[in-house]
Amino acid sequence: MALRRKLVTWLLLGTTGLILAVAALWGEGAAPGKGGRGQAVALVTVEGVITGGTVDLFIAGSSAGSVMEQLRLAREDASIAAVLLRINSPGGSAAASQEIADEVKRVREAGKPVVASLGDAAASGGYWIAAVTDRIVANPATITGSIGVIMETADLRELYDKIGIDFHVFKSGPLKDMGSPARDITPEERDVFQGMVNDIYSQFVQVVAEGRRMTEEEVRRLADGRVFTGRQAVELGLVDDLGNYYEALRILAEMAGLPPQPEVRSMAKPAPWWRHLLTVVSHVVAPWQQSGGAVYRLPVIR
Amino acid sequence: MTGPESVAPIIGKTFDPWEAIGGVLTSPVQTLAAVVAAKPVGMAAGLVFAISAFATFLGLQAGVEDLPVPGFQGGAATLALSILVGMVVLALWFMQAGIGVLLAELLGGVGTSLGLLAALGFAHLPSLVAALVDFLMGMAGLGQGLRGLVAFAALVWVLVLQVHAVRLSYSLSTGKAVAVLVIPLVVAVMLAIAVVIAAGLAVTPLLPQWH
Repeated sequence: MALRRKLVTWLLLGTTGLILAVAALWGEGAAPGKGGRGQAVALVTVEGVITGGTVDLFIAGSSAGSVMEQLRLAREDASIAAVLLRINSPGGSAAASQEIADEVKRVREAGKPVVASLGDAAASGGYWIAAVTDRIVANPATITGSIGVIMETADLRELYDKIGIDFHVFKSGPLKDMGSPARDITPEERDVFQGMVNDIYSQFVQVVAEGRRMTEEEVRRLADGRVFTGRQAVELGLVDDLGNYYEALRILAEMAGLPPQPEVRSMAKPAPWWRHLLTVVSHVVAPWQQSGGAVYRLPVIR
Repeated sequence: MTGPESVAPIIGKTFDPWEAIGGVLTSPVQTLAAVVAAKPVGMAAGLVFAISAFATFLGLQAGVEDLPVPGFQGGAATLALSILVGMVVLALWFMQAGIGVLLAELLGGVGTSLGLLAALGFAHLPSLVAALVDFLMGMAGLGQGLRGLVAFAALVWVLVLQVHAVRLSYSLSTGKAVAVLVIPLVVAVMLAIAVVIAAGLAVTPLLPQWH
């Protein structure tokens, strides 16, 4: 009897170990149907605020570095036939969006079609990236558009007076402290900032015009910063089709000559397990952290 | 079911954990009586955590493939969620035992809280079997209906073992042991319904009205 019970124990633990190994391999893509075979679709996601560099531990968003790396891997991987770019972003840094868009173009130049599937929102920087893809698929209620550039400075003199802070500035040139929150903005600085915003805006308009095969005049008529629903965007030529993620996948498969339900492989580099635990915290902290602090902000497109 | 007095723990004079794991599945009453007597709480905690984390890991590994969830895919995310679920189930196990002790004593039972805690932990073992069977069925491509049936059978199995655990650790009749396990569930469900109704009443005026 005792032997039988021990036998059951070892049988149970042995099976558990064996299945744990199989499950781990299954998850890592070694099992049949999860990688390694023929023509797959790469899933690259742009989620949250688009930032340059690395995303802060407590800020939920997509860093240009990470998204570009995913696109590069998709471009270089011979088993990847096409790329599905899932965008759910309100925008972010102009330069970061531009970097990602350049990498999307390289994927297309490599002969791999790219379709953008827009989620809740793909506005501003999110739309900048979508505009350079072969086709854009949005939900009827997706918030998109917001073609424009915004830059903000803050005047905190009254606050500094109240708390007794006084600044002494030593600078090499008259514009070295432009945007300082410790004094009012000068007309010259205003011109410089506005010139920067206008220049980035022109680049944005140009990207949309090229991507959507529209004239710059046509884009400028839509590019006053307003947002559109997915359905409005289709009517205006900013989006090609209405549909969800799976519809976008179907369209992409058709474009790439793949079966209707192709293998989809996420290009995201697995984060360490503890990072996922922190994700919960980050979603609580992020809105608070992003709402304050910065008094001089880089040009953003949102 | 027999009364606790008639149950002789069959796992020798010294408690053998390797024998106990198989014993819970093959001769549950005698094995749980031995667990109640030996009170291996540390091992029970390890089992509760490992079984729930492992079952979650298997479930997620089998189902994560088609999830278009940005930033929350792959083995690391699965591992994180599995550990989280393991910790939550560990806390729930501790709470269940605490409430069980209180109710068992209120119903006239006499026993040891650590014995109940350990026995309730060992009663999780059928969940491990269910997780293994479910994963194999999933790999074999069997439908959700049959897999649901296996999950239900495992749930009943765990409940039966829990009744044994309460009965043996506090010398209660089967009816009272069932009451010890069911009363907290009924109270929790009633509380949840009350909270949902209260929250609904509080939030309704704040919701946007579409005309």
